[in-house]
Amino acid sequence: MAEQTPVRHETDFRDDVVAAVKELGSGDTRVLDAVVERIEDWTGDEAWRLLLVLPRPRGSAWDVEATAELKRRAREILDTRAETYGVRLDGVSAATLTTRDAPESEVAPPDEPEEGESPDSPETDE
Amino acid sequence: MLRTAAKLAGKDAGPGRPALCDLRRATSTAYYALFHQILRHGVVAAVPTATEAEISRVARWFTHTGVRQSAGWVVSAASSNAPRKEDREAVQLLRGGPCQGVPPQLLQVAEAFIQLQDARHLADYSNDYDPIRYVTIDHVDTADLAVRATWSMWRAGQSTKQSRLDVHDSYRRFLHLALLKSGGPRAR
Repeated sequence: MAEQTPVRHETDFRDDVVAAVKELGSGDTRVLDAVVERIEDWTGDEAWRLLLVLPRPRGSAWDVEATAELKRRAREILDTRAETYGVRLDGVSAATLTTRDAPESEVAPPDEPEEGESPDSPETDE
Repeated sequence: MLRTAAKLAGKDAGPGRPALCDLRRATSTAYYALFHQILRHGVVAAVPTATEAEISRVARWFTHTGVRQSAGWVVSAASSNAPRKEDREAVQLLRGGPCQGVPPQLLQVAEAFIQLQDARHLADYSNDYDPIRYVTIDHVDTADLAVRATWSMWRAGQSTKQSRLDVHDSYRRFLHLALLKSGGPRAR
């Protein structure tokens, strides 16, 4: 007999994951918000990506052991819920971080084209 | 490479906005630092007596996709979810062995590799790369932590403690799977 998996609406899955991960973290690694995306990763597989929105770090960077633990726990929540909701994908899921609180001094402006270049000029072979 | 990545990311830099090209290069360099460390250990695990010239040649047998696949199997082996049918053999191998499970250091390396590979792809090819210095520094720090974990697992092979030897065994399984999935020697 073919294995049956529960089929639920993908929106419920995303909402459930976001609610669960917002319980994670503390201090400047507490999760303020999260976004669940279905992407095609660079190997061509469809995979879930979980973007965790944190406050900006207190110092110049977040504590890397805290962020590693946070990303792991978030990914485990994502994978477990994906199994429950029957929305597992072939690619490996992963969690990434960002912040919406970065001051301008910490955000890189778009690169300016170098003198003599334009966005449309073809690259020359050397 | 990690020192270069840290410098490009502007760790401990003074005031002033970072340059986007520097952040992109920092992420890419961080990824390659971990990738090349895994490759070096993978070569020596496969060919313990390899000379430096041989290490350089055999390292090219590894592919980014092959290492990623092996890292994905590690993540799957550490999960309570049942693996996909096509992954079962590899996952069983990683779950087996004296550790009877995935050591935390190996999971840390596998997760870091996948995260950094994705980030590197965005850094090198995409306009969706996140231009926030904190995020880039986290890439660099993640690579640093993972490289340290690879060394801890590698050196565990010289330990007199059985638990450390078991961790080393698990790391070697990951490395061998990475080489197998990379396809081995190729015509050039």
